[in-house]
Amino acid sequence: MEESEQIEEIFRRFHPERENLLLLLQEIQEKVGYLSRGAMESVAHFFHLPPSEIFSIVTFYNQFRRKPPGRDPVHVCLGTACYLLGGNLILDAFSRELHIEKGDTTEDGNFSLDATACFGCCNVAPVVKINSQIYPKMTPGKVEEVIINLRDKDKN
Amino acid sequence: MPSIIIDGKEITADPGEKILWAALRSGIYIPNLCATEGAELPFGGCRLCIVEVEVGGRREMLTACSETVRERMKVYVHTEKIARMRRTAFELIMSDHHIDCKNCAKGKTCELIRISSTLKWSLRPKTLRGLVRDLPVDDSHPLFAYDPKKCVKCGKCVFVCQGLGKSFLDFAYRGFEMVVTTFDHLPLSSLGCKSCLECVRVCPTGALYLKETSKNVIPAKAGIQQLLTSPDLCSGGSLKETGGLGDG
Repeated sequence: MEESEQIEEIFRRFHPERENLLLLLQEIQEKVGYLSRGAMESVAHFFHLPPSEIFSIVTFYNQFRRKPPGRDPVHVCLGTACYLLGGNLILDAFSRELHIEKGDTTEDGNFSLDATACFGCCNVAPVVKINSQIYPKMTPGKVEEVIINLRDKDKN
Repeated sequence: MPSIIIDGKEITADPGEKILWAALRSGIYIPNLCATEGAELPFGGCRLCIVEVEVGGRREMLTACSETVRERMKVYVHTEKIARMRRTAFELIMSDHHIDCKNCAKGKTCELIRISSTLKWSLRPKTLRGLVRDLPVDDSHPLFAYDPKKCVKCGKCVFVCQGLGKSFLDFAYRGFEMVVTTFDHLPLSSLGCKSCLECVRVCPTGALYLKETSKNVIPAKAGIQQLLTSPDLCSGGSLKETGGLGDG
């Protein structure tokens, strides 16, 4: 289904009242994977709000992404336990290896990089989640290996 | 008319008025950057107008722009504690402000210069490291430009544009990364802005400024007022001329 059709379908299930705004944005992100410029514009139109306000909300929350996620979306946990055990260093290592910043997607569309909060497995912190797999006790040194393995898997 | 006592001096205020405006009218200077008189919901973001108010025998730190006057309210605007807090707030603002007064379009009318010279503070922060972000200037609009490196995030332009029913500008991102910007960072010229230039008028710093070329169109001394009332300068006409807002 086209992105615009998906969004239209979501609009049909909501009233254009302000209290529904975040729910609707979350729903679009879940169905489409991200919030494109066009999606934000149509949301603004639907709620009769200025587009700048939608942009303000979307950029305020870490949860929303404005670029399509990669085939292997990398989620680095920056929850309290992971943060204390160097989650930021893991994020930096992925950023270096993939040549993208947090919130971006690689040019080939294979990887995207995001920071998220707790996955609920703080005992093996710091953790990274890629697709549905958890990578426990990560170190910056393991990052390259993880990426190479995923690249090989994608080739086959 | 309620009367309030500021640093031992009794002054009269209008009912429902905020401390800041009552003080300023009576000639008591309280520094401020983000305050707009008559604002329904004062922003209270710059923290420069902080004062001490006696509440039930204790002194509380409050922002003068958001606190409504009460009869016989005791307010202190010049204490050592306040001076220290204001100073820190000012340093935080200046730590990510691109200080370039010599080339700045705002010149001496800059509110930051006014505050620093009135309170005898240096513009450059003394205790904080400068962290000016690398943000691009938007000079796409024919009459004015926006330099986010000089923005102090007071929100005056955001609220004035909102008040005029347009909302081309808004805050985006969060924390230190926060900026005032357009929808998806689109260039200012692409939004259908009618050049009312209210945002330039309210900007306390040189972040939103008239371009050299637009200054040449009008006599040097006339400034923004002339631009605001001259109908021929921009295609859509200014707001005052058209008497309202057309379609983007």
